[in-house]
Amino acid sequence: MIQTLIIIAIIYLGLLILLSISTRQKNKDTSNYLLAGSKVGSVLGMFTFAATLFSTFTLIGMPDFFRTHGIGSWIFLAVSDAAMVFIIVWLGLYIRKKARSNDFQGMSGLMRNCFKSKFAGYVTFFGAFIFLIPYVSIQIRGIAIFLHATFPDALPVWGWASLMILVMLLYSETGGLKAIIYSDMLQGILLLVVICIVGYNCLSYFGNVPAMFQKVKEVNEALLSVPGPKNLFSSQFLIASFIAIVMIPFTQPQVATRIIIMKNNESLFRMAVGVGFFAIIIILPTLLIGMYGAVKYPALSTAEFISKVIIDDQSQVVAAFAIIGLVAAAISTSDSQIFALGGELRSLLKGDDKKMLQITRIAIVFFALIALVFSLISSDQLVLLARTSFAGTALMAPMIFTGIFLRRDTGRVIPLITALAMLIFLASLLQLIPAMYMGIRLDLILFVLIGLTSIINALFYRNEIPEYQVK
Amino acid sequence: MKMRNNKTVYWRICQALAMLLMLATFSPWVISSGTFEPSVMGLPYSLWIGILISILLVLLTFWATKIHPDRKNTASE
Repeated sequence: MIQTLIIIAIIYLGLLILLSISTRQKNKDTSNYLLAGSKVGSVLGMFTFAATLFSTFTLIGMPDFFRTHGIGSWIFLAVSDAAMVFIIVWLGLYIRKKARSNDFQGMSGLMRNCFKSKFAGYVTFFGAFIFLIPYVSIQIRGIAIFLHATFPDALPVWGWASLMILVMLLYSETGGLKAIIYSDMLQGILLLVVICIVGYNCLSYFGNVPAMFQKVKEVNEALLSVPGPKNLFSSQFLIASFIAIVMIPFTQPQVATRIIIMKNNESLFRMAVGVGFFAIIIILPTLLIGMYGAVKYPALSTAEFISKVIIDDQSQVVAAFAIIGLVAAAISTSDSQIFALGGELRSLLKGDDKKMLQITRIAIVFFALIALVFSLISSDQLVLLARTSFAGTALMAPMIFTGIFLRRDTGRVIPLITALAMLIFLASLLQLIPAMYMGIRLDLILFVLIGLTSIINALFYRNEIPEYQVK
Repeated sequence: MKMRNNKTVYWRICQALAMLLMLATFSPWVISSGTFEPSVMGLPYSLWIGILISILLVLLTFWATKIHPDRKNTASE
């Protein structure tokens, strides 16, 4: 298998190099380098959006989630994703309009302009940084641990993690967002094909769908209903997760950027529908893989289970493609997130574009290094950490929607409340304060409180002294 | 003008249907604790109804893209 893997890895790396060289631009400016010229078509848009959204979290995390917590995982992710694409069609145009009228370079800069407050920009950047870095790190860590478990003599965990970061930086620094988008397309197709083949093979083990669920019922009946064997899928967990996931296109800068850079409204709409179908097609096989794991490998760790199901139980060629698919999934999401952090920083900087872009490119390397360090010390709970990232950035949703929808100045209350809520949420993650109050999850309480404050503030705040008079 | 009005009405209906589906997801009819039956083609209850809701939401999204009042509005672009 090693020989097959090396051949596929060389082809994959060769394609990445080819893409980054072909998208390399002599005249780098913010619009071309960070926003890919803002003329992305629907097919390319769909793949880059899907590859950014469906990461290692999908390929490793979701099968493991189905195996451990059962069929409620479908409502947790697939229903939320399907609702998310509707929300993109519903609200996507508003963010595009606001972005175009504010010379969009990043969400932080957009919020600074909308609230006429640098603080609002800093809050957005802080939220993106603090909740995206752990998300990038867990993906890198997930794959590095998996590769180390599969090839224990090749490289240590930090070696695999460093190699992935290096590949990611090489092509994204060379070709900018355009290179990332094209590589996302390659990675998205690879991920989709691999996961469908592995899913089909898992179903073949049982013969058919009723036989599969019958077998799961014999092993662990609680997997076939909510809240699952470990009582994870309570209504509250599902509602809080739903809100966090549905808000992703507006609160996670790497995803918001992909809405804004679409060529026109029709491209955006076609992209949204495509992502909806892509979500269903890609989550279905993870259900099959998870149920297979529940029957065959209920007691193994996540890394051992994934190693068994995608390497030991597959043909050599499929296993080799699956390993590359896993690496591709991790890289395609991580590079978009790291790059988006660079974009966020750029949007806060003012000055000569060329110079600011140079600072941004150095910052991207710096962010990648932080993610690398964090990947070596973070936890292995892939899905739950990803969900924490979604929930953390979702706290910015009321502020972002206020900024997008309201034309008049609404003061600094909302950015302040958002910053406070994020700090409280962080305190609960660090276990400095409880995560539940009167039986209600803290992230849900905070989201409702910020939402209500934003509505009340929008209704009653009147800036009586126009800004020009203050100055 | 009349066509645009029709589109706005359809768009409102589409929004309402999507909201209803989203709310229904978290009702006891869908996330019914410990319920396996009725199953469809061997799929346990919460799973098949979850799959159905996902497909309906994506189909609604497709319909929304056809009737959205600003579908071809490129004035802002």
